[in-house]
Amino acid sequence: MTSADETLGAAMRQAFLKQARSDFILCQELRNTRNPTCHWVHYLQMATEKLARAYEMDITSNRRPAKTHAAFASFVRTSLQSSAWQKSLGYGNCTARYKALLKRLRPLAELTEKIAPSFAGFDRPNPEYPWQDSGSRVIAPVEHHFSDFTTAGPLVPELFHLVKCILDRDLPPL
Amino acid sequence: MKLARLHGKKPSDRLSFMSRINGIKGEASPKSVERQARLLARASRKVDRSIKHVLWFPSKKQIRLVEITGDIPSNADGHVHAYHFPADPEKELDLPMAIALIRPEEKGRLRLPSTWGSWRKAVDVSG
Repeated sequence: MTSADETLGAAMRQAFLKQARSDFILCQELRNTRNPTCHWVHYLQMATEKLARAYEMDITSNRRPAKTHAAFASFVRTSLQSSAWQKSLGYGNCTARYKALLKRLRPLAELTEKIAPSFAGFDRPNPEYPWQDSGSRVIAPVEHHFSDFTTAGPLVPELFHLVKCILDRDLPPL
Repeated sequence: MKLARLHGKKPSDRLSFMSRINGIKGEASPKSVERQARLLARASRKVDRSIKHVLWFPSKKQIRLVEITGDIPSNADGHVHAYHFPADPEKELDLPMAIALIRPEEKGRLRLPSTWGSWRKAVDVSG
């Protein structure tokens, strides 16, 4: 709901961020359980998509959100410019280290975006719906290991840190 | 009040202060916005070598850039998607920013955000 002096864009951004934070909390909880990997990967994909969509909202306008899966990878790339985020992430004035972090995270950000069912379709792994692999085998997400995420080493915690810092920075505390 | 201390300073200082306190209300002269757009474009290309060209869509309230790179997937819905960030006075960027990434073949073909005008308004700030 928007107040008299708040634009639709500003209200939408906050709402997208709130929903992203809720998805992200569930993602973290699921990652710490023995449930199949697809579940936390699914929530990670949804949280990052909503985070990107929040920043697609122009807070000065009353434009409605676009009906699309916003690109989390493009969002990460364009956010390179923000020294405020650099500081929020604990990089102070170390711009070179901050840029290196975002460069390191780029492949994982692209992967997170591409596993959305709308991109993956029924031919590639996605964390929500079954798909058919190149050998004509039908696979349910719960049977897939999503090894790009489970073997990504420190990159997954780094991506989690990035998402958490952005959400903490731009939302009032719970 | 801090505003009183800014009295007598350059307009850009006052704008910077206004941007910091409200993030969205500032306006700047066309020359100042163009300077900021070029600064941001240069910084983007320095960080991301795959960005070959940067187009600026003039506005008094926002720095609007479309960065062109072959290093992203094709657009899926026919729209330019810009991401919005607050002003960054530390980097001499006094206005909020709206930055989009597109592929070279998408230039002039994708639909711009409704307030950005047409592709004909675009100014190449890559240099």
